[in-house]
Amino acid sequence: MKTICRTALPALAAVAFVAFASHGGSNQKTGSLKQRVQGTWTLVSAVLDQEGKKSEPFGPGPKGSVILTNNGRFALIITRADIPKFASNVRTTGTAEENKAVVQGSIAYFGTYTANDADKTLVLRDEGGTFPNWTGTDQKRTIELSGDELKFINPNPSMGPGTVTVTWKRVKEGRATASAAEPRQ
Amino acid sequence: MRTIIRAALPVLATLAFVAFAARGAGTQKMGKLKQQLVGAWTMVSDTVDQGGAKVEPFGPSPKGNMILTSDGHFSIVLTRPDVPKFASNSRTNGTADENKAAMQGAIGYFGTYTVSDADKTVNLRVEASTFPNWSGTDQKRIVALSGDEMTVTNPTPSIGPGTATLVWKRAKGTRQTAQR
Repeated sequence: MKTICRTALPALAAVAFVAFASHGGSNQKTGSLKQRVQGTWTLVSAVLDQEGKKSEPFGPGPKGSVILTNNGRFALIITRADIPKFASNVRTTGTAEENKAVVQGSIAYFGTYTANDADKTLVLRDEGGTFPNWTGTDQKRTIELSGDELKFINPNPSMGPGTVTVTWKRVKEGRATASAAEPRQ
Repeated sequence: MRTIIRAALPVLATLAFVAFAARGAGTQKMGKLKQQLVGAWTMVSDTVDQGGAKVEPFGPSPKGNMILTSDGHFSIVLTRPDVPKFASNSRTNGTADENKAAMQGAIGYFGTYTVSDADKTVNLRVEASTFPNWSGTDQKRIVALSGDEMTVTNPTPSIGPGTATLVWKRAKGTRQTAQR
C-alpha cells in the first residue's frame, strides 16, 4: 500500500498540475504574437493618415469583424454603417450609384495568416474577397497589442496612398480557438 | 508520513478531476449540432434553383470561406474568382463596370449565430454586410452534415427568388474546440 501511494502521489500531483496549466493556456498576455491575436475582434475605428491629413475611409461608426483562428485562418470584413439599401432588394440589380456606394464603403477578404514575433507583423494571405486587386496577394500589417485592443497598421491601403490604422477590440468571450489536432472527446 | 499521504491522495485526485472537468465544460454546454458546425469551412459550390432553372451566382468555381466560432460569432465571404481587377488599383476609383462586377461577384457578412438542434437550422444575425439590405437582418439557413461536408440551404438568396444550396468542406485541421 505504501509503495502504491508513493508511486501514485507524484503521478496525481503531475496530472493536477498539467490539467491546471493547460486550463490556463489561453492566457492572453503571454505567448507568441500568433497566440495573442487569435480570436474574434470587433471594429472600433479606421483612420487614414495622408501626410498628416486624417480621415475616416469607412465613415463614422464603421462596422467590422476580424476572426483569427489558432490554425492560421482569418476572415476580415469592414463596412460603412450608412450604405444605402438597394431599392430592388436584389444584390445583382443595383444601380451604378448603389454599386459604387458598396464598393467604396466596404471590403471583405479571407485566407490564411502568419505572425512574425520579431517585427510584430501579420501577413494576411488573401485567398478571395470583394476587392479583386488583393486576391492572391499578401497583405502585411504592423501590429500593436494592448490588453483587449489590437491595431492593424497598413501602409498600403486599398484606397490609395497613405497609412490606415484599424483599431479592433476583442469581443467578450471571443477567444475562438481552433485546434489543429482532432478534438479530445 | 503515511497519514499525510492518505490525506493528500483523495485531495489530489479530486483536484485532478475538477481541473479536467472544468477544461471540458465549454464543449459540454454546446448543443450537438453546434459542435459539428464550429470551425472554418471552404466553399465547394453554390447553386440557386430558380423554379427549375439553375444558376451559379459566383460562377463554376466559386471561392468562399465561412468561420463559425465556438463563442457564437460567424464570418462569411463568397466570391467569384474571375472578377476583373480595378485598372486604378484603388478600391475607391473603380469604373461603373468594375464596381458592378465586384458587387455582383461577391458578398461578405458577419455577426452572431444560434443553432437549433430540433429543426437543424442556423440563425445568422447579420451585424453588417457588403449587401446593405442584409445588415441588421436575421438569415435562417437549413444545414445538413455528412462527414466533413456541410450543405446549407438558403430559401432567401441575395440574388432574388429561388433557393440557394451551398456545399462547404471543412478546412483541414480546423475543427474548433471550446476551451471555456
